[in-house]
Amino acid sequence: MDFVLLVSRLQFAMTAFFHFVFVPLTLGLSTLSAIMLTLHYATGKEIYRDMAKFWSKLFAINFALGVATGLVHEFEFGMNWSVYSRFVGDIFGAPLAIEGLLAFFMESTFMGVFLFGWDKVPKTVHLLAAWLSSIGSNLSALWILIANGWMQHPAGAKVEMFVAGKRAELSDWWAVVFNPVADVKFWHTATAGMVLSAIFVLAVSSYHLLRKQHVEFFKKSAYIALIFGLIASIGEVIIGDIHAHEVAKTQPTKLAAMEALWDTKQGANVLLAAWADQKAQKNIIEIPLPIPGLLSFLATHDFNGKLLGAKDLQKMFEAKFGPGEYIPPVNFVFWAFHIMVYLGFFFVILFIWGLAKYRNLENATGFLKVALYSLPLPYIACWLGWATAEVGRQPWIVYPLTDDYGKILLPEIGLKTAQAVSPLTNIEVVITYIIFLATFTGLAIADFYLLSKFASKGPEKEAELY
Amino acid sequence: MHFDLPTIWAILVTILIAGYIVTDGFDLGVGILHGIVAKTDIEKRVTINAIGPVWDGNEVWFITAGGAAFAAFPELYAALFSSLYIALFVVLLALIYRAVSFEFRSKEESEGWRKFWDQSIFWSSLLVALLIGVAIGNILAGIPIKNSMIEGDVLHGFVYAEKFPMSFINLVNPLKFHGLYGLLVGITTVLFIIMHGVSWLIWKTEGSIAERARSVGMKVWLPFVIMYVICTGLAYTISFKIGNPENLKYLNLPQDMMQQIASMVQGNVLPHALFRFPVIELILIVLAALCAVGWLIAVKNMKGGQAFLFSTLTFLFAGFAVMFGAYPLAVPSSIGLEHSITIYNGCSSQLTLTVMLVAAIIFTPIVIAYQAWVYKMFLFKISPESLKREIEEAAEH
Repeated sequence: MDFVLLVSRLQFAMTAFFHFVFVPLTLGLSTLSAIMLTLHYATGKEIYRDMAKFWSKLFAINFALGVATGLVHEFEFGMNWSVYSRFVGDIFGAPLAIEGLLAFFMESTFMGVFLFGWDKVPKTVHLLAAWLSSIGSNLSALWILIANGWMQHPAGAKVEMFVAGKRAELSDWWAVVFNPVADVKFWHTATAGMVLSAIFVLAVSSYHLLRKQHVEFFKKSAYIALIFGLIASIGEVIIGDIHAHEVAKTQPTKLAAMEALWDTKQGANVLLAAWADQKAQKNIIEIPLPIPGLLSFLATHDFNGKLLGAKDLQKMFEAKFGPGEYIPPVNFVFWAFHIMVYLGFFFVILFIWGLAKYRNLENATGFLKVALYSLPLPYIACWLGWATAEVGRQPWIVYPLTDDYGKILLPEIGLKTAQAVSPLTNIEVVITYIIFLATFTGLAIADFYLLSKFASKGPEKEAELY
Repeated sequence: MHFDLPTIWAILVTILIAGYIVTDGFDLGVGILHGIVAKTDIEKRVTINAIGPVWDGNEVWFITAGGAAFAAFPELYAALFSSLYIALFVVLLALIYRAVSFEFRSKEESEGWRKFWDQSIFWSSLLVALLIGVAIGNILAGIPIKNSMIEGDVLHGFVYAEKFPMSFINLVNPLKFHGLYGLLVGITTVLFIIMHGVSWLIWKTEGSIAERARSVGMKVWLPFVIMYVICTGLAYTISFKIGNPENLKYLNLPQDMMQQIASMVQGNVLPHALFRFPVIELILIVLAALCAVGWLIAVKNMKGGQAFLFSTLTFLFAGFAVMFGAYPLAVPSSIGLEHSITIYNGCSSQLTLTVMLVAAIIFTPIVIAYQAWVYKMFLFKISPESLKREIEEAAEH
């Protein structure tokens, strides 16, 4: 692979991964803090006030790096992927701009009011600000996923020749906004943020409950997190299923890689585990789930449904686009996807277990330990989800538009990742990659240090001075 | 000037960039002044608290301006961001350090920790202000970009003709005109940003910090005015050579504008490209100068609100003078005028510009309204004394 292309991909993936350390917590914890503040203003109880204060402080520490990495992300499109940016800008730029104007202003402005407005602004204004900030951050995710969904399924577009070259142009705005792939992606991501935040609150609470400190405070926090998390995690499983169904229709090569499906099959089985030999186009190991036709059912909602295998897809794509590798790295995509799914089910069980133990939570040492050490798991699940979506899209940066049955409708809109990179030099990309990597790593460590310092301190009252 | 969609979007993107410089500008200025006017730990906290609730929202202007440029002028966004790769990288890095410095500084008691983040706030704010100015200066003077379509390449769009490291060094190379102009505009921008920060500190704080801010303000005013005059004067010496007049069609300009340019060409050079609306530009420049004088008087009398208004207006008038001067060029090419990015060959399709315009018309006033409302809410005065009182009260509880 071309060196500039390789490093640009690594840099973009790294930025995305760091961005997604901070963003899902922002999405969910803003909502959880707003719920706690609502409980305070509704019941007048001080404990909810302290809870909102404590959790929103952790939220604030986390937020700055989310913004910083997001800014880098937005600019990297133009910096590293200039051919992509000019090819798709007519469509892809609009949701990004609207995200800023409609959502991000709202999120950050009202977050300022929420965090700095304690006792300084009227109660209703304060509460409104907390909710607007939470709604803003989720709206923000919506527009970003509309942009990302378009790369996966470029609806509402045509290809035109412009004075500066060939490019994709908007033909139907509402088709871009109501792109079915984008909309399920949003719900999938929003619920992922809620699950992650619920586990974050649960894990921090478990830490304190294991030490028997601030028992009432953290028991209440854990209770809110358990209920919130259970609803979100069940929602996540359902939406995940709808999402996989969309992928089956719109990105057949991604689905084949996610399921290590080499041969076209009717009534295909779900594989619990597999290891593929990409060159030989077959699986060396496969352990199927003993429910015949389940994969066909999940993907097509018909136990006898036909699914195209990677071998046939490779031939189809070669016939259409010329020679090349059209199947993404199967082992990577398969395992990223499968571990994410297994974690998704684990989270549902974790929340049910916690609710079952709730009455005597402070003494349920086994559960509390598991909950505490589960903290990294939702982060891993989020990363693996993104890895599935973006590596599974390869070799395309814009996947050629298909109809609902995987037939390619608009081949000329397909743009390969290898074509999309900026004409930069090796040294430039190496400099930025290494310094961004060092910076993000250092800041993430500082961030985690502060988060754990404040999280382990508990809700002691102190001067709220920045 | 036409009132078509590309022109409206050129104005809107200018407003967004101006919005960024006016809002984030004062907190960048406070960031620089943080290293100058605040001596004790309490004073340092006061300068940070002076912008604490608002800098986050201010930075969103940058993200939105970037997004709007991407959406409305994708060819420009792609070409500029990949051409200014390392420069932009440094800006991003500085913005990151700045953002986390504000968050992290007060979270640890140790002196070394706080000193580190204080330094980080000063240098990152200074670097961002300087590099934004350097970028604007380079873009106005023209950088070596070429339109690959002229060579029959349909995929790459506008690309930078130089390779790293010269592509980066020349941006601040005083021996190249665009590099020299970039440096001059960069210094002018830093001076303006400091002035704007002074306005805010006088408005938002009282006591020792406001006093010291005032004396810094009195010192930077004259250098700013001199630099502004130099930059404006030099702008009118900029001229562009034309390689192949046939290829001027790639600028995609409306018919009458093409004719206007054709009538101005002397030999193969377009002189004084930044001089197509002399009356409007002159009025704007004079207004900018008058506001700068108004600022000085307001600062002298410690009128923070007035000073803020005047520094804002100074920038807006100067910024729009630049926009009128550059129109319809967005990034002139120093290789040949035909390779330039204009607002007509860099823009999105009519449909996208229309959709975006509807969104902008609905949401921009809403954003401005609630930002103004939030500002109003947080516009109580703070001082080292008031902060000490707050800490003592909190300790008693």
